[in-house]
Amino acid sequence: MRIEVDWTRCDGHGLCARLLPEKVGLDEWGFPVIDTPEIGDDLVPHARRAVGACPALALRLVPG
Amino acid sequence: MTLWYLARAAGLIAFLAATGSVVLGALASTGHRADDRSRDRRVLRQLAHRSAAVVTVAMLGLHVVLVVTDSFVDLSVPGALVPFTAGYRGFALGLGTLAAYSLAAVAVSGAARGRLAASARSARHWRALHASAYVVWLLSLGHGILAGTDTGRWWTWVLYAGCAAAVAGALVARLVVADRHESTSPLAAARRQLTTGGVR
Amino acid sequence: MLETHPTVSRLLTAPAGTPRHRNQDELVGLAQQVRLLGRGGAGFPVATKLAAMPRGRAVQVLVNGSESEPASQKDRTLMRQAPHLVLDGALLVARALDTRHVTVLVHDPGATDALTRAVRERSDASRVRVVAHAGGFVSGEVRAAIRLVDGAPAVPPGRRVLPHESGVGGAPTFASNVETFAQLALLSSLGADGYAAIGSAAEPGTTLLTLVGDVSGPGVVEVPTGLPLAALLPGQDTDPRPVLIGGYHGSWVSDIRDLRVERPGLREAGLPLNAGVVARLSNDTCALAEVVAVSTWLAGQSAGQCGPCFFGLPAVARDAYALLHGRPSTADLDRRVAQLPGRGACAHPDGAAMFIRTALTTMTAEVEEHRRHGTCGRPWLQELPTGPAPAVRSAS
Ligand code: SF4
Ligand code: SF4
Repeated sequence: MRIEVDWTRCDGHGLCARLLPEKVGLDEWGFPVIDTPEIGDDLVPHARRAVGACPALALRLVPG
Repeated sequence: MTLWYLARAAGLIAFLAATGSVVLGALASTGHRADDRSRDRRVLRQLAHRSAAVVTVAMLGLHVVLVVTDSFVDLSVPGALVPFTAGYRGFALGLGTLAAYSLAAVAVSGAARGRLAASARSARHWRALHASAYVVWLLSLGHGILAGTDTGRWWTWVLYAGCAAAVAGALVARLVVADRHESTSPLAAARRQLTTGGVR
Repeated sequence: MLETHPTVSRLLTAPAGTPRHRNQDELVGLAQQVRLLGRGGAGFPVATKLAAMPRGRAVQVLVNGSESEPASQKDRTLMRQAPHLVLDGALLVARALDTRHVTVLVHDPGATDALTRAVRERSDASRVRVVAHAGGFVSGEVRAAIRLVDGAPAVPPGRRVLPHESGVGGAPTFASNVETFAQLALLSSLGADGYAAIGSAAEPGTTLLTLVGDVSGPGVVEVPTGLPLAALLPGQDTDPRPVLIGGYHGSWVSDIRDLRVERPGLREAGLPLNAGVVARLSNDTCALAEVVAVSTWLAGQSAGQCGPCFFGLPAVARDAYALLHGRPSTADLDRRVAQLPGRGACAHPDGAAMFIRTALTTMTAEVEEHRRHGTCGRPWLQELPTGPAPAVRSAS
């Protein structure tokens, strides 16, 4: 699985970084920095939680 | 008779949980501060919002089953399923039936939130659908006041007034915060410009 | 000046007229034989794009002539000088796809006039729509161009959509740069062998370039592919200077000895040719000031949809400006530039980062001078255009 941000919607709330700190950092304005978007099986539940928590509906977990 | 008391209690708890869920949901998108503590508070608020919603659905289910199976009032299954056809307090129960159906839609939309994020258009529809939770809450308030056996006692009025104040307060807070965010966030302003004819 | 480099004049002087009919397979075959690549930004194989298209009356053909990069002139020159060849290419594709819906998106007023006149002059172009727009840099991106034609804000959508699935009006759309269409028309009339009689083996034919700054004859030129880049930059071996390849989303490179004007080879070297802008600064202008001016312009072109681009590009431009005036550390600048790529709905932040990063790594002497003294003593001559594009210089 891979995590994707729709940058036209992301508001920089930064909740994703709190729920998936293994993958998501934040820049100085609160927007996510994701170095490797591939999500290993162990992190998929956390990634789903982050997707569900994004207030802007900007995150997506896609196959691949 | 025991079932009847349980049914009323379940209904009341469902209403209280619904109030909590609506209040927390309205407050979910407030708090734009960019520090980790307020981010964590938002995450917790979301979690509480969802938990309260789950309690609402569970208690409502119990309430419906108990009311139909109880023999104290004569309510048939079709009477409960089709709004405004129940013999006993038909209008008041109709409101309850409608509230239950809309709650089902809101709950399903809430559960499918992640999947509906696929496109900008479906995200807009999602917001509209999920915002019908406010209507659910109003219907259930009406149902509670009109059908409730205890209505008229002083504590029920305190309860309903308190819940109404909480929901109204949360809604106002949400609108004010959204408004302030729109006018102070440069990105929000730029995006608004894009969609309102700032094309060239 | 123009005699000094081996230009050709094939595209800009090609005879035009109603092209002979080619069906989709023939056209795909021709494009495949000459390995034709799109002439906008991405350089995607035309045959692949064309083969993926369905046919039918609903299909749309979009000719992207928005050329919104101020340094580039080649598309407007082509549309002004050979509007009929552009229309030939568009109609050729439209007929092969069994459709009559052709839209040409234009930015430059002179090109708009030439195309509108050309449409009126011919009998087979009554259904061609010429749309003029005044959008910025990002609105030239193909998905933004599609939204612009549809009357929506000219910004790329947040989710990836492929034009051949959902383009103009939601219909399958074959969209490409104006030069691609002109090359297709030429290819159809010359045949694959005739077309490939000049140019390199990897990408036969010719290509249009816009030369900017201290080059042999600034302006638009048509050159055979495979031409050594040095042929366009006299004196580079005795006085090596950074050369910008691929315009404001491109890269600066100092050693051009092995480089040829040819998209596949340049891409392999990590230097995409993009829309074909090649620039070199003179020794009289402050190179860093030129870079800062372009960075500032790039920041202003952020469509304001995506946070990292909207906040990041202006911050980078401010850091670059501070460096120009002697800020000793480039740590903030380096960090912010490194964070730009991959974090937007379009490739604008990626391209901008490439431009600035490669400028800093090739202009080390200038950077050092500015860090120490806050100036290099040279004035800023605005050799890299950032305002409204200057008047077109003809290619022939
Ligand atoms: S939670 Fe959503 S809106 Fe917030 S930073 Fe992450 S992706 Fe952006
Ligand atoms: S990346 Fe920048 S230029 Fe591209 S759509 Fe987003 S804000 Fe606009």
